[in-house]
Amino acid sequence: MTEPLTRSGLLAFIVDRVNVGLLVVDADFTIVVFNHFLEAHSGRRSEEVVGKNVFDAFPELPGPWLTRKIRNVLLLKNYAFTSWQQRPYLFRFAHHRTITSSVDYMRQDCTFIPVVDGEGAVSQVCVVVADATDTSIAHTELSRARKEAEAANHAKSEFLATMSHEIRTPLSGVIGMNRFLLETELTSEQRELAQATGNCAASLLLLLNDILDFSKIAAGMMELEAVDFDLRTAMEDAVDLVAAAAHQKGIEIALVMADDVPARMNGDSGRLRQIVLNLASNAVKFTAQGSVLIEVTRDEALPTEPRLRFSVRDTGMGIPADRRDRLFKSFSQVDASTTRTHGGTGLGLAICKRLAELMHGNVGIDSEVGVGSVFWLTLPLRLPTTSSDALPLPATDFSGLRALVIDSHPVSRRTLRARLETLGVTVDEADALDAGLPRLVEGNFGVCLVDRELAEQAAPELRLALERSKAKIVSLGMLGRRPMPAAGAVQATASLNKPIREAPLIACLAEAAKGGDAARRSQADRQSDAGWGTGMRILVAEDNPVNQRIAVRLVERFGFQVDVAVNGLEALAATAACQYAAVLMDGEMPAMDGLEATRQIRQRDQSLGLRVPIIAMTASGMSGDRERFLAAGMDEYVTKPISSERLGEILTRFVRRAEAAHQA
Amino acid sequence: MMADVFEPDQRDALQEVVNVGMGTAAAALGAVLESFVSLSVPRIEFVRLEQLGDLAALSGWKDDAGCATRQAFYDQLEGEVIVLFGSEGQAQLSHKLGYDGDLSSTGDQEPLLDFSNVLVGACMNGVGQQLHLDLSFSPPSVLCVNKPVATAIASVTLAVSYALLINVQFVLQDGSFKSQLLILLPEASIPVLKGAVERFVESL
Amino acid sequence: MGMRLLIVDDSMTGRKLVRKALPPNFATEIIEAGSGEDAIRICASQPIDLMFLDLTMPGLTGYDVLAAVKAEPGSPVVIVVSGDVQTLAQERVKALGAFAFIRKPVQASTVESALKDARFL
Repeated sequence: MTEPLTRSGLLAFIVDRVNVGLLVVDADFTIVVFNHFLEAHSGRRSEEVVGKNVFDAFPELPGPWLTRKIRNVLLLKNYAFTSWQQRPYLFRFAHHRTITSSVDYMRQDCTFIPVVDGEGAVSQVCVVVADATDTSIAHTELSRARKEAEAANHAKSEFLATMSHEIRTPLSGVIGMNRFLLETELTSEQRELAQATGNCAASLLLLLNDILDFSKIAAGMMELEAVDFDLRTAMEDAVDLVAAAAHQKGIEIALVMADDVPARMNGDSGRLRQIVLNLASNAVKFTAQGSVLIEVTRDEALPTEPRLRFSVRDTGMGIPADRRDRLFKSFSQVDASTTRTHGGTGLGLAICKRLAELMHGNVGIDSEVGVGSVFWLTLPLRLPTTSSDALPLPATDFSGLRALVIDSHPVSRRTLRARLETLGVTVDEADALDAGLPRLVEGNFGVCLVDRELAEQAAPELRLALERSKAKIVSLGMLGRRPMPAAGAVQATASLNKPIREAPLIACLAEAAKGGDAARRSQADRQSDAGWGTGMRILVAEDNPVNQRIAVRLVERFGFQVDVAVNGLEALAATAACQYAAVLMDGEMPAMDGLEATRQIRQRDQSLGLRVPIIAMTASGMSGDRERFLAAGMDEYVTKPISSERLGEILTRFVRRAEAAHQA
Repeated sequence: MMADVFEPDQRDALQEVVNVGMGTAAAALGAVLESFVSLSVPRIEFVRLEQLGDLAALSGWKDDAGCATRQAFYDQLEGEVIVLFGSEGQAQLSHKLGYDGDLSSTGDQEPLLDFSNVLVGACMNGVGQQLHLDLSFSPPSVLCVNKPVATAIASVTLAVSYALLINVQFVLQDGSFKSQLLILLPEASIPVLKGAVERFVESL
Repeated sequence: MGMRLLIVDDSMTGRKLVRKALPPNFATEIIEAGSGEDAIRICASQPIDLMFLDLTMPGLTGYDVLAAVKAEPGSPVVIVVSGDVQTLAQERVKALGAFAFIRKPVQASTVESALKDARFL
């Protein structure tokens, strides 16, 4: 007949037989409880030690340490802990795994529990001793394996970094030589082959740069600059680089910077541009139609530290939740098939994440399948260390000016509206000409900004509407798209290239606000040196999208309106339709090259007594070139990459002085 | 951020509860260190976070070398506390707690853990008692030692939503060192805390 | 003769907690001050019999207030209320003239016995 235990009998059994050591001492360190676990491991019986001072019974215990530990618990009435990692063991017990392990003694995790009596006082402490030997063994092995892996990884990264560098040198040679080759006389078949070679080499270089960056960061060799720079310019530059690809796919691209974002900041502008560029070009790559909007705002999530948030919002396919985590890990794309269709190393986003972290920032993604994604970057905002020497932009308050925006692309409309409103302009918008034109006639608009394609479609109606309103017309065109209005089309007062940069926008509005024909503006009205080209137009003839973009931006910085031609034929047509202050002409272009175009322009204009300054843009500056250009009728040349100073000097020489002479 | 979750009088109450908790902690530390410990007026901030790295930047540590420990609490309120220590004054601290030797090797992290256990236990129990929330604690563990605090703990990614940041400076009688408490609360703990604070305010 | 009581604490919650711990109908008039500066001004401009004073306040601390108030003749009896109960703190406030030191969180029983000691009850 078995009898179940009473409650206290049960609890006493558990205390005795549980597989952790339980030792209770009172305030003068007398042993009160000593359970079976401790008996079995120490070889001492409970009857022997209970009632004795714990240090007398177990002289090998760390006296001062244990005394302090227990005293604190009595004093503070709170738990205390010790882990085997800090102190391997309290009691020196064997762990009994000697056959399979070389650890010397049992590793122990200890907890010290204040024993609270009925009146809330603490006069005893219970010490719990748990066997942590298995954990420690696993930990040691893991540690060792990790160290080995890290060393191997590090060696690999260093190797990659060195090798990439070695490979870059001959590759740059290939690219350079290929450029020179393209400058020579080639048959059209040879030219095609050479261009294909150049493209392959350029792609290879991009790939190599990605690998180099990635391995540099992994090897801890990436250094970031801390320099003051203009944030808007850096962002506009990054967006520009993506604009061509975007416009080719018919995707709208725009940049909006919030009012409370500072103009300048301190940091590594190149790397920041790299991240934003990467996110934006990723967005463009994976968006079939719609828009890519880049926004820069202040991030107020952390009240004590200002941060900036850069977000790239696209209308792409969206990314399902289970795949988002993998995005920023290296070598993964959303699904393997996209690598084949879209190409790329899959390193870009991983590099972005690491760069962001090096800058004490974060990257991430929010996405909705079928709607689109927002890739974002947040960074601590570091204000510039010195104040800016840049000349302030001319007055930027255009309150009183009313503008009508006609553009079928919602993103473009929205962002342009936001920016105009920040500048104080009252804005009305329309998504098509039939809605917009009546409003143009009725409303009292100072300026009408209309998408170039729309304008071309309905030129006669537009012209009529314009005659009946007093608005100046500004045409908005995508960079790289055919900008030249067909014969008989409306002549815009000014044109802006999308994505629209701030300085040309302001210059345009300033003109519209002041009224009067810009072309007859006197030199005294030209406020800042940097905008001396305001009111004048320049044609850039260049087929390579990247070079085209660079040239356009450089020219725009001087305040000029810029039109674009992609080959000699277009250049010919353009110069017939419009009297440019100057023409920047690339050497080789398809259909008709720069030299031939120049010859024809000179021939045609000679009879009219006109001579527009034509400046060659060439990749190489070899002797004998100058003579060739001059012989064809060009006035001067700049070598690529074009330097701003050189361009400024040449434009000043041929345009500004000519203008001044004309005025005089 | 604070304004989203707590009303003004609740915020005032929480600040007072934390102040009292920190006072208890200072007293506890003083007793253990056998030295007078004075502390600056604790200021609390309630923020939403995306990653632990934000915290360090938030509390102004950035790349200062220091140590960090973490300890979890549970039962009627759940969360984790991270204690950040500056590297100055650690030797004195260590000595006062009854240890010799520096803190760079694993075995000598004990003073850090002991100190943080005392601090967290006293503070959280103080808060818990006032708000009538019972709390139990897990053992503390080290996050980093003598490393740039921000970068070291940035590598620990968390699904943390909110943090109650307590900015307080401890000064020992014969030296000073910087220490800061970050009480991290998961999303589910916010309504619990809010409820407890509401009941506390109503009882006033 | 009425009992004029001043409660000094920068936290509204702290002041309420002291109020709550007072015996019922103890004071004829209870004034609250949210800063050390206000406390000193009030003591200077009107008769106060008893002051409960928090130690940790931004600006003028409890120690500052204590020293300032006790320097004037006819100063109120001061009971310091604080979360920081270190011996050194207690000694300091006693030396500056505080009558008693009560630990936060404030409890009715502790307040009652301090008031009895001060012969207000």
